[in-house]
Amino acid sequence: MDTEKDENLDKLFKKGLEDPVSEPAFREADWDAMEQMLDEGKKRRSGIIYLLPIISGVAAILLIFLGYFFFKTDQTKPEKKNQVAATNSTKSEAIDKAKNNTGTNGEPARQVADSGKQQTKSAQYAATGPALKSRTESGKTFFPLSSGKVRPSTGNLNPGVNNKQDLADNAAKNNANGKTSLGTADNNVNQKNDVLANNSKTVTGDKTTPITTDGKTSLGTADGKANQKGDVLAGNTTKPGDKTTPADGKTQLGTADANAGQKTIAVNPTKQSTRPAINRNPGSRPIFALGVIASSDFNGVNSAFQQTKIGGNFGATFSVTFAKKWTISTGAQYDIKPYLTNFDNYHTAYKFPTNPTSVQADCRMLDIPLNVNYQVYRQRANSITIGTGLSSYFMLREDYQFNYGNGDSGYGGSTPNGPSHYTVINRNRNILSVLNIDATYTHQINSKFGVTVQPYTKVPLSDVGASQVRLQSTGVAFGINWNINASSKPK
Amino acid sequence: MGEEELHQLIGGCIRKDRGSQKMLYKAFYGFSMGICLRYANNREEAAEVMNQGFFKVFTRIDTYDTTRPFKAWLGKIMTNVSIDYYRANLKMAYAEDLDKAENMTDGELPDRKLNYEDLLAMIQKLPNAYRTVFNLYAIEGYTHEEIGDMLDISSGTSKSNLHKARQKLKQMILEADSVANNSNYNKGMDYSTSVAINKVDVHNLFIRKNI
Repeated sequence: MDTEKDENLDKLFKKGLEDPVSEPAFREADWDAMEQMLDEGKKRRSGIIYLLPIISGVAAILLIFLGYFFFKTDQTKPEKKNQVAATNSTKSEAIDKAKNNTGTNGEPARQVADSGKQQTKSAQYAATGPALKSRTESGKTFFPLSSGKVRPSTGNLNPGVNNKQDLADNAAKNNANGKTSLGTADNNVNQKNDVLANNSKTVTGDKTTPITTDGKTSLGTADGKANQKGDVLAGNTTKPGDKTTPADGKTQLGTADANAGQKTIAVNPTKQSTRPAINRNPGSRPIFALGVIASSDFNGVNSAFQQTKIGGNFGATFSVTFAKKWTISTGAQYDIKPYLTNFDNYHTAYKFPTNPTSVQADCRMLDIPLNVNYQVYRQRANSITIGTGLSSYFMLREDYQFNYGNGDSGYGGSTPNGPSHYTVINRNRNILSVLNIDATYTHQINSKFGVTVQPYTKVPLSDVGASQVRLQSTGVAFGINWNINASSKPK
Repeated sequence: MGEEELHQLIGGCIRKDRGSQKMLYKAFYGFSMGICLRYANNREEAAEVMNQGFFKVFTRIDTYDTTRPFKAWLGKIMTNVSIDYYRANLKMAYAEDLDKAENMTDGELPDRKLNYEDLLAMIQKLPNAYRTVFNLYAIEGYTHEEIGDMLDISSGTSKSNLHKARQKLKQMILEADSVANNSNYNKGMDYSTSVAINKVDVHNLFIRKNI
């Protein structure tokens, strides 16, 4: 009985409510809202695409800084090389020093003299044949060259001997003084190799002199070419095949080995000279640091911190210490900013049937700061910096909930007030519209890593987001810093 | 709308042609709004939910299987978005006025024909949890098990909510009937049944005005 009545009730409603005659008529306003939603949908998709250049821009800035960092470190290296090369290029001075100096008159001269000694040794070893022994004795500088040269000459000892003579001859001819000391000769060879590794043109010029003017024996010429080719290979300017065309089979073997030898030589002097040069100029480079940061903050509108809500942020930072106490920092931070504000602070073109009393917002945004920091205090591993700068907000999502004061939340309540919520996605960008003020305490755990505590405040310079509110945030951030170039510091 | 015309419109929607989208929207506006109104508290909310439904339709129309009836697919989407819209509230239990409803004499339903607006006003006065179950069971024809799965509630809760929804609706019908009778008796026969509508609270009047 009851079931039947229930079924009747169900039928009454089903029939009455599914009657197509009673279907509500089309309302243009609803389509307008639909169209807006479709447009927003497009924007939402394209918004990500719009964000890409921004993100890639940040990445590009990071890359530029990193590139600058590597460029700077590369620059210091050539400086060190130049020191060696310069010493070598001032031949007469270096030679005089090498001759007169017993190894006590300064590093570069000593170095030349030392290398001269080494090469003398190697020449001696090569000339006498036990090249393999020399290789096992020391892997430095010219030993690979001598060993390389001896290897093809195992069947025929002459080329090996001639090579050595030729090296000495070439060196002697390059030298205007025509000094006969082995040290001088080796010095020239050394110069040749060092410079050749960097600049093939100089090498070619250097090499052609002895080859063309000497009219040496075929072996000597071949050897000279072999050296030249090796040098060119190190400089990567021309194909080795072109140069080796006039040379015979033997020479080609010698050439191949000379290449190996030359390359080794090109590397070793640099390594030798790197350490002292860095020791001379420590701390003159900018220090780069990457960091991760997480923070919690109070958000309020128009300094009305009585209506604060707690938000959270996390992100990555990148900073460059460009002067003794000055640092520039940037990064990207994902912010979750909820806040509550009176409706008076909420700006919209939409006319509410009944104005809400307050608006509760939840904003998700990307915060790109650009700050300058100054170190005000430092003692041992602890330091304090103060910083300021501007932030750009890229609003990813804004949710607004309207409160109507009578306990209802919009249309969901028992009395009709107005819309209950409003969502905007990827629509608003506020470039450099927020002033950052912060103080950072850093405790350096070791040369690479440090922990930071950073109280900060963000003061709006213009209205932010779809609701055009003056959103202020104050909080504390915690982070970890990693000094990128701390590892390259001398030990 | 003919089958061929519908397919052309759907093709246009797949190509994101705004004209086709509007024509499809207009063609199925009444049908979709009819569904959403049953689940919503009022017309404004129904329009918002319906637009969310159409947004899904337009963005996922390429997944529509053209061999199946479009209206059924559309109706299912509208039902789903409606449920989603109120999902947060659906698990809440309502105890208000139930004693009154339970103690109500289980009299015969009035034979007076209730029009669409009356029925809609009544169903919209139900709490969300009751209304949704009543819609799904009595109008859409789902079983309690299916409803339980859809709303993430037990079938017992679904039965209970249905029962309470029916009780409340009966109560509303009887009240509306008695008001209508009294009004007719007191004011004379010039008054039509529309007097009964006037007695429904201001909230409902507001809604009806917009329909």
